[in-house]
Amino acid sequence: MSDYSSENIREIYERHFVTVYRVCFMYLRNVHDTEDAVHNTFMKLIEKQKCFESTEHEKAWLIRVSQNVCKNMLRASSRRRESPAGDIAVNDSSAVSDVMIELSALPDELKIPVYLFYCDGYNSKEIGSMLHISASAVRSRLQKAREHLGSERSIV
Amino acid sequence: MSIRNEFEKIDPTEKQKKDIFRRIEESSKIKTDFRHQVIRYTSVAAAAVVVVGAVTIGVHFVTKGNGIDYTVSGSSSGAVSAADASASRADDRKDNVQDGENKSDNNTSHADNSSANDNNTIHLDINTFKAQVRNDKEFWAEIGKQFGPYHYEDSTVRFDFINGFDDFKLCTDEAMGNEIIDKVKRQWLFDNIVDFGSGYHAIKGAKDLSTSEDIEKFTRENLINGEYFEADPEFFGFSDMKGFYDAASELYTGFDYDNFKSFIPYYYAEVDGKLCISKDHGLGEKGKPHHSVELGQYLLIYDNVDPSVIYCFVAVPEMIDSSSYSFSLDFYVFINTENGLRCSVTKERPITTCGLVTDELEITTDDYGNCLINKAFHDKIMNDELTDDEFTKLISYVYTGDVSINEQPNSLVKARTEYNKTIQRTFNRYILSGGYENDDEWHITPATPGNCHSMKEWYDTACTLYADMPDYDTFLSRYSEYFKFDGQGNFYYATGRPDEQLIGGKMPFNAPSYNLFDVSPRCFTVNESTSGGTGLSIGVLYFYSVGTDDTTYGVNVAYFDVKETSEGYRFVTNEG
Repeated sequence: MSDYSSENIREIYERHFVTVYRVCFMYLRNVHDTEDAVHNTFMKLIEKQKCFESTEHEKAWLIRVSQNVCKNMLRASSRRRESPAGDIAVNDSSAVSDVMIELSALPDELKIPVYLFYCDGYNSKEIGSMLHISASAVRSRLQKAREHLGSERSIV
Repeated sequence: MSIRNEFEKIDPTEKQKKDIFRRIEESSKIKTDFRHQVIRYTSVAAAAVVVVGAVTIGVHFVTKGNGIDYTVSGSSSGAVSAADASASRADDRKDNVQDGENKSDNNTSHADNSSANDNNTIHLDINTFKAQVRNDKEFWAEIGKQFGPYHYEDSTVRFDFINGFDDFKLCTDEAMGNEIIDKVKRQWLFDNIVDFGSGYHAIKGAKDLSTSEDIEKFTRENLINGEYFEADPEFFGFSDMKGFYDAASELYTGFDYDNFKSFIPYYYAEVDGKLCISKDHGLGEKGKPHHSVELGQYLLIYDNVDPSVIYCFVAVPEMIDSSSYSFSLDFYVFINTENGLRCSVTKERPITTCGLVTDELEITTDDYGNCLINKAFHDKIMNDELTDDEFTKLISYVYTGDVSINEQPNSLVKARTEYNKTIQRTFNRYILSGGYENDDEWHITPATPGNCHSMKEWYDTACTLYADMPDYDTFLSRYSEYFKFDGQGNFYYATGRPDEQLIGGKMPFNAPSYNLFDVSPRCFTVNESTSGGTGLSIGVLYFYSVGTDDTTYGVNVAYFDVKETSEGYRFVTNEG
């Protein structure tokens, strides 16, 4: 049961589906798990009946929840002694580039700033506002991410 | 291959999109069960009516932060009836705001606009509106309606502009007020310069570019070494890296020139003696206008406990268009030291309001899904006094992922008795090595000025709390990537920006992470069948103070696999 109308859910879904999908894929690296994670993320939204200050707040919340969903899926697979990397090898190796593997190997706290900066084009101040960290912490994380990814990587 | 391209390659198909949404619909039965109710942008935003002279020029609902401004525009003359105004959605670029885009078709109430219906109106003579300390309740009450009560999570301040105005002692020291205004203005301007949103304003000769042809031509003619554009000295106020450093040194101390170059963002470089900006940060988007910091309105309040601490709220009007303003709210903490005022914290926008102070057990979740409990709840957990129902309630709030918590408090007590001695050490290492949910919180926090610690001193302190600390050399080799050191052995958290190590005029920090976490985490067992069947797992509830007044705690869970060995229990962190 939800206070949201199906139309509202659809609007939110339309607004953020790609972002949530990409965040989840960055963690899980295979299509099937990613689809499950996206589904579970939006279910959390419906269950929580969240009220948002803005679409940015909405987006930040969904990113945070999708992270948690993915981490718990990974945790569960770890408990089952299954490796998500194994899934890649079986299902999607051809679809996952070396860069994406490097991206998903980034520490958790680096992944989202990298996504928001490079893919969505937010600056560090805006990312900091979304993630409730300082702009300098964002820059620090981006710098660490670049170090992880290798200095030769194009970062456009 | 660029990172952006990599992300763009993750391009789900329309079929995937539809299929997932169909699953969501089926899962939630939204087709049949959902009540029609509009999305509630419950915000914080309320009405502030700005009057220039005798002319009401607009009412603005503002949600700040890269966000969306909901603007209510009024008449351009005479008193506006806010209730008659129509909500409109404005693009986040202030210069593109279009008043009057009516959103009423879905009856959306974007904000608690109750204040729009009352008569609280800020009357401002814009001609005298300049950066100043102002202590009039009417003004701040209206700001309070706009932003709500203010809670600063790492300190004790919880300020309600409307109801709490008399609970704090106002700073009326004019000299101090002027000094704070000056510092905030300089810091603000510097921040905007360091972290400009677009190269258009920062690249020499680029600010008037408007068409793609112009940009291509400009790029062809001005790109240096295929990588850089020359920075515009008019924008920055300096033309080379040394000038940058000198400007920074006026605000911050504690770094030398070489260090400084490693602190500033990657997109700065010096080429042939000129400050340059990487093209990667360049011409993609027109920048947003800066805050009108020169018009900031300041409220200075002494900390009730420590009078050397001054909380500084700054409401800054931002021009929406030629006749309309909205407000943003920033928050700073200043500390009056022997070396003068130091700004220790900058926060934009209010933090989550926490008011869990009663004796009744209270539990809630914040905007980000974090579980928060009050002290009564916390104490009951720590004393193993939770009833079954209370434990069930707690677990229902704590984000446990797909783990089924079948065990009840008696097993919590059992797990505590059985495992706590050894889990304590494991848990401390877990926290010390970073944790996973609160990556910002495990590390040291900013120091009180004058209370500097060397790495060794911090290490020795940690050894008194953490039973299993490695020897000093091992510790350094293991964790050194997280720290930087100055020449005196003082250390600070590795970061990329001057303002995170300016504290106290040097750069050290104190207060290792144990301040942020309860040192007695509570275990509960995770049902064996849900832990993979290969052994027992435990969950560890742990707590962190939200604020330092011990009224509100965040609750998290960490999971460990339990292995029983001849030497006792061993715990292996269970993070995928």
